[in-house]
Amino acid sequence: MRANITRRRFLGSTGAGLVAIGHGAGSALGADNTESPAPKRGGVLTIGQDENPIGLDPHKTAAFSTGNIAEHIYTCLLRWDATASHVEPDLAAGWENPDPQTFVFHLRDGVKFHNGDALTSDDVKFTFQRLVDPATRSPWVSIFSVIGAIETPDPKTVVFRLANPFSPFFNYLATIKYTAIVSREDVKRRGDLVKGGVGTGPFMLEDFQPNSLLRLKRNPDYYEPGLPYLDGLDFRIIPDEGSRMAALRAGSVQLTWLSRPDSAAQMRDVKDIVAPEPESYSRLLLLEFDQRRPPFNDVRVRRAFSLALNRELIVKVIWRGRAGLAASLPPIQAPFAMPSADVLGLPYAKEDVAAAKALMAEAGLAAGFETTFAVSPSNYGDVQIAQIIQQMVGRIGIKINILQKEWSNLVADFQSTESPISMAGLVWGPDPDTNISIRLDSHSTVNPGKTADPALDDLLAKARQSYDAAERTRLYRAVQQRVADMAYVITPCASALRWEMWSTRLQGYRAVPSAQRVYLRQAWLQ
Amino acid sequence: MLRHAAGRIVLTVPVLIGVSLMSFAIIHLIPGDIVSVLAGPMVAPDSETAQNIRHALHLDQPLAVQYGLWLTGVLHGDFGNSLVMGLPVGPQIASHLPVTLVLTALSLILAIVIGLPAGVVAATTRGRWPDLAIRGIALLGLSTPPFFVGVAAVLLLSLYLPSFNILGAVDLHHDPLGGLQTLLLPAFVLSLASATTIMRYTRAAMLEVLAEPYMATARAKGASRLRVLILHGLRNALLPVVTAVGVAAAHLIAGAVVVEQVFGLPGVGQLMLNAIYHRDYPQVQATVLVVTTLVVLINIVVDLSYYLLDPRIQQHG
Repeated sequence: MRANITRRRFLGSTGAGLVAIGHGAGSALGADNTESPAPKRGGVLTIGQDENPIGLDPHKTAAFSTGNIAEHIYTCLLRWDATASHVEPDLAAGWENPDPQTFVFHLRDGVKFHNGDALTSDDVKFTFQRLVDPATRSPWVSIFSVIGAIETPDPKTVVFRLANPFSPFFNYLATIKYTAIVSREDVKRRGDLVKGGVGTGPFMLEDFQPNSLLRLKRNPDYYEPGLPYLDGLDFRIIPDEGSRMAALRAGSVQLTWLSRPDSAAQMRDVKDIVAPEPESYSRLLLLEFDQRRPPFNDVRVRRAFSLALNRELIVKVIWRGRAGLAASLPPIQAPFAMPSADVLGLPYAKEDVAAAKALMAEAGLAAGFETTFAVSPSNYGDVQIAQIIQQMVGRIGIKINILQKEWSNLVADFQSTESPISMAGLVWGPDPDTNISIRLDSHSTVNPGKTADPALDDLLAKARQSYDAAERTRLYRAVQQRVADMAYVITPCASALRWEMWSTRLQGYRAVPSAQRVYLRQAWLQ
Repeated sequence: MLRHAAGRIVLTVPVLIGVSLMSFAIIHLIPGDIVSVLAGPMVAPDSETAQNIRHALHLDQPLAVQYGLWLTGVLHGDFGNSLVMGLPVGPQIASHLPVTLVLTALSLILAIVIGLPAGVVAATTRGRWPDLAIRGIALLGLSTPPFFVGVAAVLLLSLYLPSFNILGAVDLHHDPLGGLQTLLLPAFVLSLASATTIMRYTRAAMLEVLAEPYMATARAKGASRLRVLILHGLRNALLPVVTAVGVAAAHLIAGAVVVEQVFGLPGVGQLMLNAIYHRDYPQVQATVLVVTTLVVLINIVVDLSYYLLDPRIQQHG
């Protein structure tokens, strides 16, 4: 999840990353506003959604589009607070941590699933068993295999015994995409939750016709008193970005998001529409090298590649300043992530063509070489950035052939480094460990670039097992230093995942940089 | 005529098999499969989890076996389950088809309503300014791509006429009238190219017919201009126009994809597009089959309508 909004650095010199609307606790829209209006109950919010969900089972798919829906239907043991820097209780009213490998959670009273069944510790146990069950084929099986045993001494208590200390655990427990709590009875009855299921969230599934409509209605038994104010959510699938903008303008939808900064800029001046600048950047653009084969198995070539790039120019030209420099973690994961201002201080991060050429010569490749760069046009900016990179490294003799692939093909390529170079944007992870370990740890089953660095493995393992925030910060800074030094991957910049915008009729809503719309639970329509 | 009709219907079967083979081959030629989409970034494409998914979906079998499994299913009425959600493919298509059919029907009606009179007027005022104006506008309508017109229409309406209900929900089961209203704009956008085709065919056919001697005869016998034009002129000119309408109908079904995308309509085109993106083989196969059947049926209807329109064809076949 988007970790630390209060500790974010305002990128650039402007403080422009302000979220426009405060949440229901009554913080004002701007300094000049009077007190915010009182919440009103009622009304169905129409949301312009960009993609169809790939089934609604939160345990079976990592698809962002599925998470967009599941986050309203399900909740989990913990959740992120409004400043997104700590986790706070949700289904778990309290917890203890008697030793680094044991967690005891006490469930909240009076929680019911949408079908009226009470939530018990057995459902929690079942959820985590389901996640690691090979029959579920969950993408998260490798994360939750760390759980050695789960005990349920009584219906309100769950004890997790981990095989080893695992500090990302709390962050995963707060993110619905990973640990949505499901009902054992419900799963047994339905087989799987692809067509929907009962959860404990503020909204429940009313009607779901795949590819056409999706309606959620208020959960009358939701455990937060008075919430949600909205009667329901109506998701309209409008794939075309221009159409979504038009729909928002015309009032056919009251909430939507865009993925292009120029579209977002256009909407900023429209009356009756709130289009805040994203608070932080959570989409990390990452370039993978195939380190198994020459020439990128030679660290000097990778370092030369890194030296040839002018990252600030990329941010300026493609994102018009609406992106931030990043080391291997996106700025949203401060304090673990290096602040953007410090990124150019990392080894080989600052442009130096002469030094790059010298390294190429040292590697015996002064004459240069030809290589392929795979990228997908599905996301704004990726292909253009590839083109800029092509020009920049052309100066040191590397001749790049850009290979544009359709998104699913690119993902397959990116995950297995089929092409010598491939680039894609990474969605945020709840914990710095999420994206960085699977990509760089030599024990990871994914590790696309086939990095094999014992020093790095050691740092990652220690960071994964330390519960001390300061210690983890130190370790991840060291990781980023090492990754930059060895140029295992290149991270040109990080941008916003989505630009959210909504009609002024929607009050009390807060957009978060991880593009989770969970604050709809406390929003209302004027 | 019945024998002819029966013969045509029987011929549909090899056509459908051929089309299904071709679409199967094409979709499987595209690299990548649905596994990376389902499994997500944390799972390597060659890992055990990914292999399990592949095995469960029969994606690791040889292509011939996969096709054979599918064909056997179809012959038993089972189109298989979508790889994405495991839902049966048939009902998915059934729920999306009405929107596309209504959209296509509306477009066709609009195309005829616009194109037919325009063609008649153009033919009767040949060489003069109405004819030139109509042909000029027709050229514009033919050349402008529907995605441009669609997006421009949506944008302009949202800016200057925000009360117009664009991009509303289309739920034909619960709110057919509202759905129809929402479909009017997309249908209009879609109809433009077909309207011009129909206009041009009508104009050409009318020009031929207007030159026929029986037209003058009818006038001389005292029939009004309008009666002569419609009853004697247009009716005889209809044959090529009906062909154009049949061809247009087939194109409209296929071309609805772009309009559905722009207007966010939950039709068969959208279904197909998503299925292709996700390499959802059973969904693609079944949708192609259904659309092909529709197109073939339309062509058969057009063919058979010739007999009704022109008695001479009945005698000479």
